[in-house]
Amino acid sequence: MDSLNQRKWDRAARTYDLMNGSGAERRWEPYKRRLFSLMWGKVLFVAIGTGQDIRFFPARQNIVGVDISARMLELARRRVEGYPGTIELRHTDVHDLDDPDATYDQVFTSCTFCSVPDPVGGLSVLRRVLKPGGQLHMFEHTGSRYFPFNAMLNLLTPLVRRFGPELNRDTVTNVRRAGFEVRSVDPVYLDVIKIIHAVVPRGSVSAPSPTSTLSS
Amino acid sequence: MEKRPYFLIGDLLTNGVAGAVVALICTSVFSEAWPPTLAMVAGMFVGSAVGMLLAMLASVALGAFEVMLPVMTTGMLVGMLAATSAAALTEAAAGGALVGVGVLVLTYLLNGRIHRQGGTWTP
Repeated sequence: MDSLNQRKWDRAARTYDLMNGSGAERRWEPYKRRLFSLMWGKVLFVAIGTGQDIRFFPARQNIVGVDISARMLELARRRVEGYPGTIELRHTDVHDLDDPDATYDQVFTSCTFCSVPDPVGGLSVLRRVLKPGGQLHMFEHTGSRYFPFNAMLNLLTPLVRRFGPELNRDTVTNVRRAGFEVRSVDPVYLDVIKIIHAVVPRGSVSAPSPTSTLSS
Repeated sequence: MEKRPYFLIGDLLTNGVAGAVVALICTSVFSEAWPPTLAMVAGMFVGSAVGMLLAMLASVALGAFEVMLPVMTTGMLVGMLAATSAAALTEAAAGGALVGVGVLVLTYLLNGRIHRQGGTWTP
C-alpha cells in the first residue's frame, strides 16, 4: 500500500466532510443519484471515503467499498450501518485489489482518479476485476481545455496535491489507456466535472493479476 | 445547467462580492506611482489570490469547482483592471461587482454550450 498517499488521506479524513459535505454534495446530488441508479449485480465502489455518497445509492445493492484510508473507513461505518442493503468495507489500495479476475459486474468511482498515484495502473486493476462487458462508471474532475481554467488548474495542482487531489488530470485518456472502451462522457460542470461511462471490451485480455503472473 | 435558486443566487452574490472586494483591495494597494505593466501583473496575482481565498470560504456552502473557477477568474480580471485604474473606491467596487457578474454569465453560457455537446450513456 502507498503509505504516503494513505497518510495524506488519513490526515484529510477529519475535515473531509466539512470541506466536501455540504456545498459540493448538494450541487452534485442530482447527477450522483442518476449515476448510482445504474447500480446492479456485484458492485465495487473505489475510494468510498467517509461514505458521503452512500445516501445516493439505490437500496438493496450488493456493494464492496474500498478505501486507502482507515480513518475514512471508520467514519464511513455509521453510514454503512444505515444503508438498506449490503456494503462490505475493505481497507486497501486500488493497486492492491486481490479479488480474482472478473469478479464484478460494475465499478463506480467518485472523485477518485484525481488522487490515485498511478491512474492507468489503478484503472488496469479495475479492468482485471471487472467481468468481460463489465461497466465502469466514474464521477470525476479533470483538467480543462479552456483558458483561463486550464491555467488555473495547472498552477494550483502542485500546491493542492500536497494535501488533496490533482486538478489537471486527463482521466478520459487514462481510462482508454487502461484498455476500457469509453461509451460516453457526460458533462456536469464545464469540461472539468464529468461522468465517464466505459466498458471492458468483450473478448479483451485482462491485465494479469499478481496470482496469474506467478502461476504463468 | 444550474437552475436551482439557492445556487443561482449564491453564485451571483459570490462573484459580485468577490469582484467588489478585489477591486477595493487593488485600488487601495496600487497607486498611480506603479508602472502600469507591473501594476497589472501584480494586480492579477493579488486578485487571483484573494479570489481563491473567497472561493474557499464560499465553497463550503456552494460547491468546489463551480465556485473556484469563476471567482478566481473574476479575481484575476478585476485585479488587473483595478490595479491600473484611477477610479474612486465606490466606483471601483461597483465596477468589480459588475465584472464578477459578467464573468459568471460567460461561465454559465460556456457551461450550457458544453452540456449541449455532451454525450448520453446508453448501456
